[in-house]
Amino acid sequence: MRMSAIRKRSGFLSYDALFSLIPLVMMLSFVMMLVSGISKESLSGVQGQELFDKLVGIADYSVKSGLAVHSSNDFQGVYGSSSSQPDYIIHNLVNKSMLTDGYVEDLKSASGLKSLEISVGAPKGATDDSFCIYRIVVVGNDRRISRLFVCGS
Amino acid sequence: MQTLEAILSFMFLLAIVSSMLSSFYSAPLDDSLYRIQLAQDAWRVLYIRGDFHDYSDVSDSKRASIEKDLDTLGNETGLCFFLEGVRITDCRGAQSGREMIVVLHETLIMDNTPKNVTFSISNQGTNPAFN
Repeated sequence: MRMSAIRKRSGFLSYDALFSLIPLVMMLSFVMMLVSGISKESLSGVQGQELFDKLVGIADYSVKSGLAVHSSNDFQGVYGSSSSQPDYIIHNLVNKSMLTDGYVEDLKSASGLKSLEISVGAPKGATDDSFCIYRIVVVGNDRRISRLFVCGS
Repeated sequence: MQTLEAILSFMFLLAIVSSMLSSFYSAPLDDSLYRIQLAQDAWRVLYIRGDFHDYSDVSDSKRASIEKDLDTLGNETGLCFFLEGVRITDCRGAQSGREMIVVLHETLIMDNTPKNVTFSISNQGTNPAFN
């Protein structure tokens, strides 16, 4: 009589545990999925900001130093004078001849980007996953207003 | 068992709430520095092209030159540029929904006297006539 009572009770306990555990496991797995989704989203946000900051840095370097006209010999007549001047950098005045594959490659390897394209005017080889920013520059002897695009991924 | 259930239910609740909050508020890209650089670019371009050289408020040719360059900048970028203080812009006429992107305070030598001007950039907004 006593033994059957114990069996009945332990059977009741195991069913109770089973029906409690199933929703618990479901909830736990759902929580794990949510946490993984949130962390993925925040990671992609951080990576996007990191890429944007790198492109902004590359563009700023290019406009102010890397591609900027470095002396009066590079560009004659900027301020209406063709006379020889001491070396100086004219920010935002871009010398297109300095925009070479080697220049882009150096910046790409230094910044650790997968791909990098720098172009005066609309970019041609930008892929779907690459992000583009632009800076306003002046190009050539006629001081034409143009945009310097920096695209990368 | 009940304690475990309570803990897991609380975790579940927290995850749901944080998920909802993160979907409502996703951190926008911080481009504040880039906006300032863009405004500085536009100012530098006007400067390099000689628009501010011997600038005089009564000189129509200088105003026309700046307006032309601001038009080019507007066409290139799709943005509105305002030189407040000398009242020159590439976006003429009333527009609604314009949002100021960045404001710079610069000094312009006007008639051999330094004058503070505000150089600002906004988006083009929408023309109320088309709404």
